[in-house]
Amino acid sequence: MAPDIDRLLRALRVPDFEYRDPVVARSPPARVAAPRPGVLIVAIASLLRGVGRTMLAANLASAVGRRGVPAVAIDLDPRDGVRLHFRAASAAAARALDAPVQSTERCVGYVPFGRDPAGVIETLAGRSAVVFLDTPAEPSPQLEQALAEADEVLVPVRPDPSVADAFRATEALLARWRRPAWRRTRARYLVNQLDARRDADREALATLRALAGSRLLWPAVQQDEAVRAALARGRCVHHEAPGSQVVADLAAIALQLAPARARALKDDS
Amino acid sequence: MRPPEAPIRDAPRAAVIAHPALRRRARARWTRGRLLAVASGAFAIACLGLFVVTPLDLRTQIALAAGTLLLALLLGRRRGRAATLALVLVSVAVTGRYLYWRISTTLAADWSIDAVLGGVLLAAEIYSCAMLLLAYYQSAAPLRRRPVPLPPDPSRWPSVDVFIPTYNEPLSIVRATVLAAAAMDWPKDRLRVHLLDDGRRDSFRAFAAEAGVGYVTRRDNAHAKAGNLNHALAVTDAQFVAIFDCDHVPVRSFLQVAMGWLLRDARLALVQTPHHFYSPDPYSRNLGTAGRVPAENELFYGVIQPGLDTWNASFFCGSCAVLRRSALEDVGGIAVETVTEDAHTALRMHRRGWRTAYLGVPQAAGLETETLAAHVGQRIRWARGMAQIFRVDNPLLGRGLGLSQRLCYLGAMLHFFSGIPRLIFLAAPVAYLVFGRHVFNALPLAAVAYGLPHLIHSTACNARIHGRHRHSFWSEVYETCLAWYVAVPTTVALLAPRAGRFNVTTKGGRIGAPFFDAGIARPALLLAATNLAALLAGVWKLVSGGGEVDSLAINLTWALHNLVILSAAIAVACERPQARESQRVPVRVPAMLRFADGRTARGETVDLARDGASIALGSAAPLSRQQRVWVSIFSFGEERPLPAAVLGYEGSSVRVRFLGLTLEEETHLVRVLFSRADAWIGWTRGHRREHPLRTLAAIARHGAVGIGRALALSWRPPLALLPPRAIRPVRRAS
Repeated sequence: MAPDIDRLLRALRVPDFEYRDPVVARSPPARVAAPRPGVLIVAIASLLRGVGRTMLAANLASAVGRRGVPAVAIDLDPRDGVRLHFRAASAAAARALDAPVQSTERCVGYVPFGRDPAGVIETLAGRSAVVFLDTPAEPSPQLEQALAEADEVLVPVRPDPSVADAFRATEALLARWRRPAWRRTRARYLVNQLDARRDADREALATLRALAGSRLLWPAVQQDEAVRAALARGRCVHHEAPGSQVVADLAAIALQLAPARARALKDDS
Repeated sequence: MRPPEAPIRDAPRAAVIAHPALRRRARARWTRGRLLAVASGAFAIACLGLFVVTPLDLRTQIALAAGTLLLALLLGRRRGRAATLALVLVSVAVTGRYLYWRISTTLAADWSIDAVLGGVLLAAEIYSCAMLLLAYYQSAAPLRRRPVPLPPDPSRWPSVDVFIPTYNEPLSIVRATVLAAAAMDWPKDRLRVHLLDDGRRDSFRAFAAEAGVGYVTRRDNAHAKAGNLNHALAVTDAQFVAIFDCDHVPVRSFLQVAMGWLLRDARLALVQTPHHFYSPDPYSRNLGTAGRVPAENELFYGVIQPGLDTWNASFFCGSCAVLRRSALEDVGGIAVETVTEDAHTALRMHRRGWRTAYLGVPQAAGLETETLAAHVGQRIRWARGMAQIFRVDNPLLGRGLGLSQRLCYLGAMLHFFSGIPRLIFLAAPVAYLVFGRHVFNALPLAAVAYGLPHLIHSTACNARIHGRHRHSFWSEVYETCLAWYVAVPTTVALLAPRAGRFNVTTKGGRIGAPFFDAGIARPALLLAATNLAALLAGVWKLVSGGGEVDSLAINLTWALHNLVILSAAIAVACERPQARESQRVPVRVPAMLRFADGRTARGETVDLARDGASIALGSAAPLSRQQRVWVSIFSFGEERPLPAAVLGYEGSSVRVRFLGLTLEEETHLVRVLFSRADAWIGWTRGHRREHPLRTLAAIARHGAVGIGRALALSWRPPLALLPPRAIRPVRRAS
């Protein structure tokens, strides 16, 4: 239900009034993450290059961390790109091989390619935290491992005419590698680098919304030059342009991933 | 057969009393209840009559007055409808006693000047007392209707024709209404929007085609708006008709909210919703009271229409309503005999046994008249129309109406005859203070002992009933502004109801510079000068000892009160500039700016208009004037960036002007701006309950400031360039 209808119905105080809202529900069911304490593992996977997997892994970790929930971005991609986003902000060296590299941001760490992700996740066991797995695009053992371990699979999509193909290919891949563990969770889609001035972007968004329904996360992440500028300076986009729309979009996604974590965090302490 | 275990409470009433024994019992109970009501009513009226006519000596009368005031004070501390009704009863008793005393003892039975003047004053007083009683009756138990849910299956929803009549309004105003009407949430195959253009303009025809709505026009303009609507009725066929004046933009939920009652009750002819205005009316704009003092029309839509609805007498207001086609056809379409076709149509529907409903949920918003002169012109039309109906289709006479409906219509029509009585009250103190005439043939102390309780009770009672919808004494200001102008047309319409033409209310114009409209304020200026002279004469008499001190005191107080009200009425004629032709509406929704270099900034809209927006950014962004940006407003539906240029910025807030929007972009903007279902919901929020004396002081302050402004503005001759037109507003291109 759109927020304006919500407020109207509250003002009308007619309990059985059912509004027929043709406006597509903008926000998905509030609960994305399973509300259980422990580590939430989010694999960010896509068969296409350049959709922003690494950027999302690093910046979503940063956004979740700003909500006070420990977050770690683990790089499973041999290109080892996550590191670049924390270049300016990371401490000199890891304290131990099996612990994430601490960034200077509160609650945020990352693990460069080559470490054993299982070991790192072990160290987090028992705490409430969100782990983002950055995966390689091509089918590989790392990708398979990530999909096997993940509680949630987040598929970034660029809003271009190939969106329907990307959707079908991803669904087919996930069906092939289906594991009993993710019988409940299916992939959620996230539009990245949206520029709604372009007709093609708006059409692609509508196509994906029709295909993925409520599995399309909202809001879409806007295209923003600040992302590239942040990468050039080796930091997360929040530090580059805190007032930008892309930071607000990432924060809104983080809010959907982390509320249950935040509650669990309170329960832990 | 009904299953025996079914609870009898859920059975339809007819089924319950179908059994002969039950029916007998029900009839007996009903008769008993009826008898009891009649008996107690008769007893109450007898008591009231006794209270009204019992003669008392002056001292006892003073004690009685003090007693009623004490009673009212005690009752006033209680909340709830019962206490309000008790207060109304006390007020009615006190007013009745005053009026009886006034008629029985204060009239001189001769043809002296004193007696004639006294008779005129008494007539005015009788009028206002009658209006007081009718108003009490109307608002005894306001019906706060809530919407009724529609059938869950949208395929069973009826078809609706939306009529948007226009004559000479600019396309820029009509566009928003058409686009928003077409965007209402209703099955698309059963929603047909028609632009009814009596101006026969090609630009309107082209726009209708572009927007995909119907365009209806006719060869002549017979019967103005009513004729236009009737013509459209003849060429369309949906079950229901929604009518919007061309500046009333509906929100997207309008039909789903308003239609429920019409589907539930097959004899319901129409559902009227309030006329909300997103621009301030001339009073609140020129006095600067917007947001603090309720708008002028709020009393009608907040108190009077719900009150009328109780008596099945709420009426059609020409716009923002849904009507049943069969009911319209039953009364021969929209009435064409008078210039207030809306109220007359509703009256005819009531005569034919149709019901009407008022739903106090603002689901559309329009533009107020932008000058006092235009407002006066509009009210002259209403007053003339109501007087015409009073003559050609008098609600007291004729078939089909119940007693309460007759009383309600009588109240609605008599209200517009307030001009002459108001002028009499404004002029009355002069008779004694200047000319030494005793229009009040009684001891001054007696006049106070009878009259003051009447005034106090009625003021306090009205303050309680009107609550946050009208503050005390403001009615007097509004009436004073209009008094002279409605006095003549109502009288003429009473004598010759067929004379005169329909005048279109001008809207959406722009006032360039502040000016004092001396033409429209002339009657108030004259009366103010008279009262000031009376005040000075009275003071001189007081000082020189040339009159009775108590009579002087009463009349001086009266003249002073008149001056306060008149000064406020003069202050309203100081027209303030209207900043922009497309009114900015405060809207708080998330927004984004996208810059040419590919960066973005997150913000929230502060206000929005058809041509621009103010946006508060989360943090300062690199901005420059005339910089090209794209504005995305995330209200609902899909994102559609609007091209814009930066007009100015300060800190993290930025003002932008939209550049050359396409029809799709304009539709998106109109939806964001006007279509939000909750856009006008908090229409009375922020108004506080008032204290009558404090309100009077505030009016005096507004008046004093306004007189100063009027003097300052009159001193500067160049401003006379703007024509200070009296009744006929000048159209300005917008």
